[in-house]
Amino acid sequence: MRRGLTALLLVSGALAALLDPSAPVVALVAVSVVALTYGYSRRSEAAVLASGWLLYVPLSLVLLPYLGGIWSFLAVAIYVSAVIERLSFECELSEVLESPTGLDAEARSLAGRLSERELLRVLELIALSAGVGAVSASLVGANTNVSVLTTVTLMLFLATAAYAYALSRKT
Amino acid sequence: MPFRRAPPRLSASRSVDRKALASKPIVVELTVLNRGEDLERVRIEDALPVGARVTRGSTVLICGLKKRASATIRYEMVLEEPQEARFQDCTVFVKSMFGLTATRLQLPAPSPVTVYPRLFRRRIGMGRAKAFSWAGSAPSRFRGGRLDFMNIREYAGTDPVRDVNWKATAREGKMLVNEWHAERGLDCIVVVDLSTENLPRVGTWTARTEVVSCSYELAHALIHSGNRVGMLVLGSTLSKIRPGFGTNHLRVMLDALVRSQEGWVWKLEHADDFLETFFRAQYRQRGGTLFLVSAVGGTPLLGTVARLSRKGFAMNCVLVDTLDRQVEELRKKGLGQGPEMTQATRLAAAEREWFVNEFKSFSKVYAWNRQRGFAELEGARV
Repeated sequence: MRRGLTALLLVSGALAALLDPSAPVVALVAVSVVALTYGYSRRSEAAVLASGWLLYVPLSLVLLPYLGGIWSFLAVAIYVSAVIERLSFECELSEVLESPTGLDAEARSLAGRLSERELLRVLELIALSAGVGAVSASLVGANTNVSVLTTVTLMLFLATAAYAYALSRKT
Repeated sequence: MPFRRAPPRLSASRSVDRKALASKPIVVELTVLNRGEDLERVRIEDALPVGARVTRGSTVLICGLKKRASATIRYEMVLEEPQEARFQDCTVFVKSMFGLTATRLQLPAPSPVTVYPRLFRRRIGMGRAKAFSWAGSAPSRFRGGRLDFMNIREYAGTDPVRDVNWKATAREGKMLVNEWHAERGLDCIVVVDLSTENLPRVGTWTARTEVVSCSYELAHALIHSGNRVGMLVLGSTLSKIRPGFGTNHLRVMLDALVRSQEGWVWKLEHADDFLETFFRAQYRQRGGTLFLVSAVGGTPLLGTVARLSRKGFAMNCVLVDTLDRQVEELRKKGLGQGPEMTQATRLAAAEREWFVNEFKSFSKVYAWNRQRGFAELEGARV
């Protein structure tokens, strides 16, 4: 799956560069490809995450004429988040599963079960994000004042998440 | 407080054979038990002892751990050198499912593994009390042996039946038995030189394994020939084992060899002082035999052999030949090719030969090689 997801990101980047061959887009895609190649060969999670987020703006700009402002950025954010989350997990997993000295059956089975659970969580994340995005977009369309409320709510949510993260680091 | 999670409560236990042979796979099982709440994503990493390499399986495991569940890492590793290796802590990373948070834990799972050298008995075949063809002053453990026929005498009532000379009995008409000289065992000390300056080294490889294997093989052969054997190991620490008989005594010497470490502290130049201190002057008066096991037949060894020989010890030098191994290690590093290497090898061999000739003035000289061992004992003399 690691190879497939990497290919998916590469194809996405190539398409973005072909459809919008402006200098900033091509530069971002080029840096993303370098980071992805490094992340794939060295199994570096940080490089994989960086490569995904470098594709965010180029892909959004490419989809902008087709989906509109809100939907293109929302869709690309969900797509990139899901793909790089799974890809970074696959990087860590492959380090264990592709050990040059092999792996015993029990460890393989445990890793396989974790992989399935993680995939399920990613799918849940996609569904939840799409749902929240759709509700927000429809509310904004109905009443322009809702956009301010949505932004404030989102900021509050991000602050709470950051607080929870800081607490969990202490444990 | 919101989102605050209870700290993970994990414990680790290890299952591994306490004793193993060098270069033989050792199966290791590390089990991590979750005593706290469910953990979504856990990465367990085991740390290998120094000098170990994994041959099967992996030392890393990724899994989820539910409450009171456990996960086991199982792998095979190999330790090439005889040593007392120790497993230390294992590292556990407790992560959230998407890896946004991570807690690192060190779980103690200590376990010692004693790695013994392999013994190649086929290399040495010798009879009782005939080790290296010298008879010593101490009576052999195998008393009543039939080394030399001495006389025929009348049956005393307690003589074993196997000593009855049936032909003479029939001829003379009375019960006659054969008399034999009791076998004499070799009374010796094996001095093992593990001082850093006398151990050849190429990169991380040292000749310690070869010296330990040779000493073990020598001690094994001497003990199993019914001789009384002591040992002195020089290196980072000084190990002394007083002369004794039997396989239990051999095990004591083997443990000392396995625990030994190379070092600068205890040197061969002072071997005669150590012998005098530990075995006292009476040892010399009893005409003991010394076996000096060293990987470098250089000036320090020559000086020591000459001094000890003048003091009255029966000297025997066992030179551990590691030249082939040194060349092999150099080749692994890409340095062993070309005419320079051939010339250097010849030079080293010539230097060794020169020292061996010098040793012969004071001592008997034997060679040991990891492939051939002592080979034929008489043929092994250089």
